[in-house]
Amino acid sequence: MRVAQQLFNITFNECIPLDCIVELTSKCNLDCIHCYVVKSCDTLPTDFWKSVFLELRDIGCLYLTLTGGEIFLRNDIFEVISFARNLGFCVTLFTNGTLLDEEKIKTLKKLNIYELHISLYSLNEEEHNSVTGDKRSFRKTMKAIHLAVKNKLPLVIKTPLLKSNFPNYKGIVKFAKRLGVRYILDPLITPKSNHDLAPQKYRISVDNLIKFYSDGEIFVKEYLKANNNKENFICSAGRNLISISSNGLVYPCLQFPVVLGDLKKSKLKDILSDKNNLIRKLRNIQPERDFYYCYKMCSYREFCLRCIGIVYLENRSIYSSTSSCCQLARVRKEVYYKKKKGALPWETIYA
Amino acid sequence: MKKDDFIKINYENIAYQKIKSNTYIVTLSDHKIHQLDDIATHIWELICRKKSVNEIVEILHNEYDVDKDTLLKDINEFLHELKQKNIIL
Repeated sequence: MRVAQQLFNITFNECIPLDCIVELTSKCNLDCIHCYVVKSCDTLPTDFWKSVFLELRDIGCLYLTLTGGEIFLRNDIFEVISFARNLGFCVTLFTNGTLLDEEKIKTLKKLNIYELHISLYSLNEEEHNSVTGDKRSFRKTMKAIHLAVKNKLPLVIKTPLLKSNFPNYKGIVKFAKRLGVRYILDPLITPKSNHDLAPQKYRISVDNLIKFYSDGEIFVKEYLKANNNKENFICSAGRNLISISSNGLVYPCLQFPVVLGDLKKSKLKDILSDKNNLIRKLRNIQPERDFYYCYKMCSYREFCLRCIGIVYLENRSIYSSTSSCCQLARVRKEVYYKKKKGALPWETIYA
Repeated sequence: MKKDDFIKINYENIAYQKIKSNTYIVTLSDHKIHQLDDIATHIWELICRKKSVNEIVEILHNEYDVDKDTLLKDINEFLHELKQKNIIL
């Protein structure tokens, strides 16, 4: 078994938070139409995050992702990253890139981060700016991308797929390939963390989802199938993945904002202990009992990437059997059989 | 490397964590992940504590029923591997 898979399995089974996503701030200099973050004024001080990182280190975290809001709005961001790197974390950064200049990129290079994810919505300036709400954002983001490439930073171009940018997503794929960098195209636009479903109106249509999953340049047939065993029907959230919000609340995942505890009041070790009723409940989920329909009955199960967070945000319950994940599973199944048999499937896709 | 020198870890190029009795090291230059088993983890921890090759041999000799020459050979092989992976300098 590959080392990475083995590490995942051990930490998943033992509930060791191998991955932690930390929202250092909810403040952002852009106002993207689809963003799930609910902005607040909370900005916890440097020392708070340093003590959190020390705790994370003690309980087995290796992969630390720093996100926002926009993390480079924090004056102490390089001190925070440097502290995390000195502790031995594998650090990934999520940013819109607009605040990065050559000096900052060079500093990041010296800090040896794992990956730098920059959000780019389109290669069309107007289209990109219409998503971010800032007429200068495209040029700034593109400048950061080119500086990151020039300085050989481990760049990832990240593109949430929206109604407006979908027609041109192939341009981003070509662009990333030309630069020799990794890219991520994400069709799943999530509700806001306060259950506001407004961002979902920007999701691409079912027809476009089918086109997207049919894109042989991006997906091979095998990829469309989800892992079908029980373990894979339970996600990492609260097991080997946790998230911490900008106001110090611990969640199983940023997309699954059930408050497990407050780091301003409790130690992380205690919050993640089995003495915490919520965490115990989460870790005791049994798909055959708790997601009976999805796990036992649904004909799309093999293709379902059931996200407990999306289910919770859309239904205010983790047990619901309906969510936008169902639509994705239906599309993936249709495309899979289309590719396999070279014929139209027998089932209808519902919008 | 002299046997009395402490071993320099290439901290800039690695991220690492001990999980259970194994240590997992990510080399940032190539994004590969490496696993050290429990004995290698023990040696790794001695390296982190800035012990020299000689000191490591001495410590392991006191803990295990293995002669010093064999230990020295095994440790040097391990260090060679770490160096090749750019984990130590």
